[in-house]
Parts: sequence; C-alpha cells; structure tokens
Amino acid sequence: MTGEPLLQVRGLHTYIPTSRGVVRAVDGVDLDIGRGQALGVVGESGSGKSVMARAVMGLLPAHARSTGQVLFDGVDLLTLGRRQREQVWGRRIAMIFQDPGRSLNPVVRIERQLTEGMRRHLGLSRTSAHESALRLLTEVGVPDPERRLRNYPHELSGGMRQRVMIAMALTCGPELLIADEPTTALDVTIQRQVLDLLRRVQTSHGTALMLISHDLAVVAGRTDRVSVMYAGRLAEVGATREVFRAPQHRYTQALLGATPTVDHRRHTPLNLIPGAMASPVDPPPGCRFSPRCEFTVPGCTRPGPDLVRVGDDHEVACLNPVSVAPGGELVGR
Amino acid sequence: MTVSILRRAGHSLLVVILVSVTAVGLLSLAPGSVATVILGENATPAAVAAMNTELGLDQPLWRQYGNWLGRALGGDLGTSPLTGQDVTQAILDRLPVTLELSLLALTLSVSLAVLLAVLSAAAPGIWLDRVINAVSSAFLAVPAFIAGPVLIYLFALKAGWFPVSGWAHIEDGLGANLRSALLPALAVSLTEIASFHRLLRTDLIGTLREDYVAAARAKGMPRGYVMFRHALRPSSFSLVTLAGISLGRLIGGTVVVEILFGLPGLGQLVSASITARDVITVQGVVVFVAVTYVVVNMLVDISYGFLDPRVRKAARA
Repeated sequence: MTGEPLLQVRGLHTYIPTSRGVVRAVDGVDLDIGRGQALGVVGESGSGKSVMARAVMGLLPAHARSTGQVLFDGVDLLTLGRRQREQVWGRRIAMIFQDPGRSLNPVVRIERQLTEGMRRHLGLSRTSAHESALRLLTEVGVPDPERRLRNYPHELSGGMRQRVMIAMALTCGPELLIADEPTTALDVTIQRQVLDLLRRVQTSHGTALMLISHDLAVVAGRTDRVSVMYAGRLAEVGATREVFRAPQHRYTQALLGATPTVDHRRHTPLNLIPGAMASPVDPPPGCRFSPRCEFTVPGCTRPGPDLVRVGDDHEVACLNPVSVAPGGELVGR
Repeated sequence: MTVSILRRAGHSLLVVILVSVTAVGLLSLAPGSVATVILGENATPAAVAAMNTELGLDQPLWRQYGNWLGRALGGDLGTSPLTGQDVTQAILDRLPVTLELSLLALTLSVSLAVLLAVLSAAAPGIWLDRVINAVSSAFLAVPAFIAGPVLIYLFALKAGWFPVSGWAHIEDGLGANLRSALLPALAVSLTEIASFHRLLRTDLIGTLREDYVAAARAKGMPRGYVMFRHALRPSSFSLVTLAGISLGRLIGGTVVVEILFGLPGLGQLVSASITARDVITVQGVVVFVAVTYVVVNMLVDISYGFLDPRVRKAARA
C-alpha cells in the first residue's frame, strides 16, 4: 500500500437502541482501503457488515449512534455537517445496494435517476448528462440505452437493473464504491456477470471497492484484501489470498468448511457451524464466537481478544488459531 | 378493458338510482307536503288535496318516482312546484359557489396537509412532529359548525380581514371573491387537513425506509429533493383516494358552512327545499351530487396511472 489509505475506519461502534435493548451492531471495527484497492467484507447475516457500510454512508436511522472515526481522504465523515457530507456522497463515495428491485425508485424514469447526481454534483446540462448516461449504460452492458433511459425500473430485468445501479454509482467518477451484497437478490446465472462487471469497472476506473458479502466465493477472486466480521467485530483481516489459503480464525475456518465446493464428495453432509449468531444486545464476554467454537481455551471468555499479526498482511483475533494451513485453495464462483 | 368500463358504468348508474330512491323514500316519511307550503298553514284540506292532484302528488310514490326517473334519464330534472324554476337551472346557478368552495377547501387541505406531513415525517418523534400531531388531533375534533363561528369571530369580527358572511361573485373581482370564500373553506378544511396529514405522514414514513430513498441520499441528493422528488409521489396513493372521496363529500356536504356564512350554494338550495318538502328539487340535487361523486371517484382511479407507471402498464395489458 502506498501513502495514506483512502478510507480508514477507526474504532467504529454503531449502537442502535431498540425495544429489546441496545443493539451493538458494530462494536469496534477498523478497516483500511487504499486507492484503487478492493476490500471484501465477509460475515454471515447479523454480523454487522451492512450496518457498518450504512454507517460509513450516513444512511442509518436518526436514533442510531455511531462513534469512532470514518476517515475518508483524511476527513472524518462522522463529524461533517449534512451539506458537506452531501458533497462526498454520490460524488466521491457511491453505494450499490442489495436488491436493485428496491433501490431504484419505481415511479421515476431511469434517465432522471441516472442523471440527477451528475447534474447536481458536476453541474452538467441536460444534454451532456444525457450523453454521459448513454455512455455509462453502454459501458455496463445495457443494450439499447436510449430506450432504457425512457423506461421505468419495472420494465427492466433484475440483472439490467443492477447494471443500471452500477452505472448510477459511476456517474460522478467516485473514488470509492461500496457494494452491499450486490448480487444476493439476483439469479445465480446473472450473479457472476454482475460481479465480473463490478470488478472490471473497478479496475478500469481505478476506483476503490468495498465488496460486502455473506458468500466467501464472491469475495475470493475479486478482492485484494478481506475482513471477516462476526457479531459486530473483526475476526480476521488480511490479504484475500492469504486468508483463504491459510485461515487462522476458527470462525473463518468453519465458514470455509461450510462452503460447498466442486470437489465436495456427493451425498456427504456439509460442515455446518453449530449454534446461532451471538445476541447483538447481550453479546457473550470475550470472543463472541466462543459459544459456538470447538477449540476454546480458558482465556476465550475473558475480554478481548485483539487482532494479532500472524503474517505479512494477515491479522487474527483468536487465542487458539489454526496453525496448520489446510490444503487446497477456494475456487471463486 | 371495455368490459370493465361498462361494468363500472352500470355499477355507477345503480349507485345513483339507489341514492335517489333513498332520498325520496326518506323525504316521504316526513309529514306535510309542498302543497301546504304553497297554500299556507290555513288552507282547507280540499284545497290541499286539489293542489296535490295538480302536482301529481296523489299518485303512488313508485309511480311519481318512475315518472321522474324517466324524465331525468332524458336530462330533464323537472320544475320546482314551489318556485316554478327549472331544477337543472337552479342547480347550475348554485353550482359555481359550492364548486369553488369545495375546490378551495380541497386545495387548502391538500397543500397544508402535504406541508405538515413532510415536516413530521422528516423526523418522526421529535418535538416538531409531536406538536404537529397534537394540532392535527385537535383539528380532527373540530367540526365545521364550531370552526365556522370561531373563525368568523377571530378573523371577521375581531381582525376584520374577511367579510362576516355573504358571497362576492367572481365578477365583483377575484380578491373580494376569494376573501368571501376563504373562511368557509377553511372551516370545512380543518378535519380534512387532519385526516390527510395523518394518512400521508404514515405513508411517507414507510416510503422513507425504502432502499430507493437510501439510494437517492447515497447519491448526495439534498433532503428536500429526496422528499419531494423521490418519496412524495410513491406515498400519495392513499391520499389521492381519500382526497377524491373528500371532494365528493364536500360538494354535497358544505350545507353547514353555506348556511353559517350565508352562501348561495347547493347546500342552501337543498336545505331550503327539504324544509319546503320540495321533493323534485331535492331529488335533482341529490342525483347531481351522486353523479359528481361517482365521476370524481372514476377520475381518482384514472389518476393512479399518472402516479405509478406500473398501474399504467397493467391497464394497457
């Protein structure tokens, strides 16, 4: 990594008061994304990865409380005023949501949804915004873009809608793209196309990417680094290749073990992780994975553990890490 | 599509006939007849009977109604036995007042309700939302016959900004016309504002949780823009429905304020006709109001297509 990272998240805590108590959705997370770099954020449902992304984008409901620092190009987004943040959102950081059927406004034509950001941030005229929109749609592989601009979202297929969302995210040439489960709502056959498109535009535009997924295979071949989250905390961080080759945290290992692969022997049960996700209201003391872990040692229930460096670009928060690397490499889908 | 329009038209006709039958039936239950009103309290029973025969009121109710309906379907609502005036003409003379009053009331209600709903939905639960909710609850509890005198007292008698009563026709100048219409319109608006506000507030809060609103905010669009460009339209379906029902109700239901403020509208006409047992005029007005109601509701249905492109597509298919 050269120079200052583009995005530095430091000690981010996001607490959301609910009727059942305060949900500690994100409880002390650090992240770095360098310019043009791709970071995967992986974890199962409820691990806090989406809340973390929304906290970075300031999209959480008003009663949610975020503390810590979200430094974007050296400026803490959490302390910026609303007008200043509006200058960053859409223009320098853009977000792609999970379900394109819900993240495009059903009563607004594609053209307005694509061009409103450009016209506001870049001050483009109607015609140049229109041309720019055409160019972007062509780039993301939407056929007959002139007609698509006049369409409403329901007139497009799911894959087309997500392509439109990607084009929309690119409109102002952002430095960082946050993609929150961008393919979860799509057909399996379309997922790969959209992921490859995302990776392609990321490299061709030199944009940094935060790719959030519950699916390790999505992240595997498409990111430089990966952060594994569990119950609002980081379990393991490192170079994607390294983490997949030699996972050190027991949770990462279990997660990899639960992923079906081509080599998986037929009619043998998948390795599931026993138990359920730790309660975000009343998390277990110490390592939050410890109640589900087969390899606990006495210290696991004491406060901590912190991330410890175990490799060149590899840190793990585990008192009894996997020291022997399992063979084989995960094949990206 | 054609079948559904025909079914709809048949349904509407049935509604109009039912409404007029009910009105005539209810009025016939009341004692007295228009003959007594014309001839005066001291008329001999023989004279009243003669007058009834002359007006055709001695015939059975169903035949009276049948005769009237036959002519009404041909567009002739009959002539008032009391004033000798053509009922259609009487309605057309009074209509502009009621229509202006209703439309003004509806415009006031919708625009104020949208403003209040946007303000409360922007941050539900904070003090501003609570204050607006409290005011809206209070409005809901104030019927026009209470709001009217209070408004007259405050803004006509005390402040002197508006005339106490009476109607200035539009030919007398738009300013004077609006000044005479504003207080009565406001008096009927209060409950409408309250119900519109509550409905739209709830729908807006729901819409603001949608991903496409988050996506618009993530594009860095300002809050007001997101509210009006992205959230308001998809939130307004129920409001449009309710506003349509309200407009129908207002056209037939401004009786109280028309009497209170001395406005020569349909409400005054119908109330005078009921007192005089002028069944022909009452029937005419009731049918007219029912038809208006049905037409307004049909327009509301059509307007969904403008609000939501998905409805447009379904209708075309």
